[in-house]
Amino acid sequence: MGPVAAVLLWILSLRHADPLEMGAMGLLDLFTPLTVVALGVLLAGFICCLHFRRAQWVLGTHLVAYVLMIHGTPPALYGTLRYAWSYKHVGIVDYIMRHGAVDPSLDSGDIYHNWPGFFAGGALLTEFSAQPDTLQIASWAPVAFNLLNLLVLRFVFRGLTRNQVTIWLGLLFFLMINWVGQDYYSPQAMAFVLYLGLVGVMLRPMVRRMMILPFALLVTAIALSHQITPMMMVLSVLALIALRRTRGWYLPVVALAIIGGWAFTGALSYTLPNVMDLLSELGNVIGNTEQTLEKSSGLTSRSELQVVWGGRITVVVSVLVAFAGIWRHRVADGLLFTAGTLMALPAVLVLTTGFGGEVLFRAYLFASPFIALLAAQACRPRGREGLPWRAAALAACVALLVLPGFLLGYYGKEQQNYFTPTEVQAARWVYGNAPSGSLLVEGSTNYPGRFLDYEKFTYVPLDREPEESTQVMLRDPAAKLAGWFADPRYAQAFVILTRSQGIAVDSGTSLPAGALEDIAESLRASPDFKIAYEAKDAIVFTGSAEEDEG
Amino acid sequence: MSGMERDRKLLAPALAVLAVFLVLMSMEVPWVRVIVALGFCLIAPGIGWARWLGFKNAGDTWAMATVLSISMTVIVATIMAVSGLWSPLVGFGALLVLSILGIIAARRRAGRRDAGQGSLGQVRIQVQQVTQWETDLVDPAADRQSRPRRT
Repeated sequence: MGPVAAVLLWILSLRHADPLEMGAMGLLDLFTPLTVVALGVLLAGFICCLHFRRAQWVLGTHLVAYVLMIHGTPPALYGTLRYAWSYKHVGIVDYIMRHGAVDPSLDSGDIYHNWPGFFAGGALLTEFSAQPDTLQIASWAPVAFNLLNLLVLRFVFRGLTRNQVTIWLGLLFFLMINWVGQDYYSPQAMAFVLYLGLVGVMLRPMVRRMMILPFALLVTAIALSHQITPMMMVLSVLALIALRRTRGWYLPVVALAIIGGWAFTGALSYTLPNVMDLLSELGNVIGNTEQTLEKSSGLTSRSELQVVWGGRITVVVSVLVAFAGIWRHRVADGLLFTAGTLMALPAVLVLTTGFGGEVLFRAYLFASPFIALLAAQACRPRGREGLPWRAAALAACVALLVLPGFLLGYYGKEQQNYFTPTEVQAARWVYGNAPSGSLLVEGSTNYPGRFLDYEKFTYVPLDREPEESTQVMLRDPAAKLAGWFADPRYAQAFVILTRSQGIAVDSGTSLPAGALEDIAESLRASPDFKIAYEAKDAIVFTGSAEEDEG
Repeated sequence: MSGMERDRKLLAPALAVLAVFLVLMSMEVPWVRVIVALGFCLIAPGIGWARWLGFKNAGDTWAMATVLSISMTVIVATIMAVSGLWSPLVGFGALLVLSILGIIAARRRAGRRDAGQGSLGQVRIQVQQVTQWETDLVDPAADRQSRPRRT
């Protein structure tokens, strides 16, 4: 009854919510007291079920309800795919469906074509589903990936302990601390599920010749799909063998052979030119860390800082509780050393790469399952059975400490991540009407872009222009853009400006607030430009000399 | 029950599942197709192989089936995309073959177990499990006590 009541309350609380009313706190701005009550009912119900030792399916139902509520709300509420990067990934799937192949030599999106596993799998699924594109499937990807994480993480945790309290509380904590948002339609989300599966396999006693089949399959799928997960995977394989949790000295050799084999054959056109960049980041811990931290360095508003610090506080609290778990059970439990090692190991990633300013998020993602498990250990009483009320109260306190930060971190940027249907329609119009070889000038990359025929166009995001060029453009946008439009290399040229681009620009530092509105006004007033498409949240300009496309 | 008897008993449900699958895949309702296709890609290729691995717990078997299925779907699709021989029908056929091979492997292993073969390996696994669980993974007393009651 608990999960059903919680879901009903949740739906009731958000039934009139309008995503356009989201402010600087994202989806949290739409929360009502009833929303908080729904979450409270669910979490209290879960902890009571643990206390009363209810059946596992009852505990599982609570966690499934939590995933549906937290991760199902954006797709149900928005009606469009959230997060700009998801659209880029849909664009790669679209390419494979149209061409029936990948092209690793393409300039745009070459990294995806060199590690195409996820996209090829996504294309095959879309073909089986008879969908025209992957937008609908991608919308629900966070729900699917989090449900898969639950299933596979239970498998991992059961390899470390058979204590049901630790396992189920660990699963709850994992869902409540993993705010980094790597569960969208992306290779890393799928590779993370496979990585957990691989760790789970290695934690199980198994005849060695039988283990090699799932091991090789999982390593191959990860190696074909992602760049950073294989690094983490090799570290974990080495650690588990060094700790004698699994046997087989050849397993790291097999893993390295598969990863290297792909990197230097199928992905050669990306690996060779970029290997020096990778080596330059090796050992540069401060530089790699700063790449992530500087992303939030320009934030000044109170709400933005609350969002950033909310996530950070959840990290700090969960890690501290995990250490408390290690300390409390330091004598009794052998699992601590393995789980503690797997928790600490992702820190090595920071030594090796900056990963485009993402490495701290990724390191936390890989550490979070084991942080959650050890935090659950902290709540379990020493030498006593089950989850007595005192321990249950402690678990509830931990949940209450990490949940606000999780909600801030996960939902806090939804104002930027939400796109209206008219924005999607405007982008679709551009891709459907712009001739191949056109120049597409974007106010920012934060809009539903590049999801159709993406390889046919050249993209210039204004918020990524060099400072000098930006200054010239801001003085006279129409004159600057008219110069670009006159470039004979392009079949035609368009400027697309949308609501979500404006939000991204206003919260960033590369362009002054309101810059996109000024650019739009300048283009409207210029005789060199005409409006090719206009809707409530988007406007598309083209050169006035072009043939009327509308 | 002998292996052949068990195979015969399984034939009818297997055919029923296949028939339901084909009917659902032929439906024009988009979300039904999506769910059925997702279910196929997430379960079918790996379920036989997961059972072949012989986990005792159903949740473990489903978890393994899922990650193996995703891996096989990714590998089959990548081979087709990289080679330029893209064909959803061939991809479906390849995954179906892998599914059937997995089920056959699981059946053969179960048959061998019935016939008493492979028991040496199983004894060794059990010893390894007991050793690990009891010496350094969990406190067995706490483990026994913490099992939830059936409701």
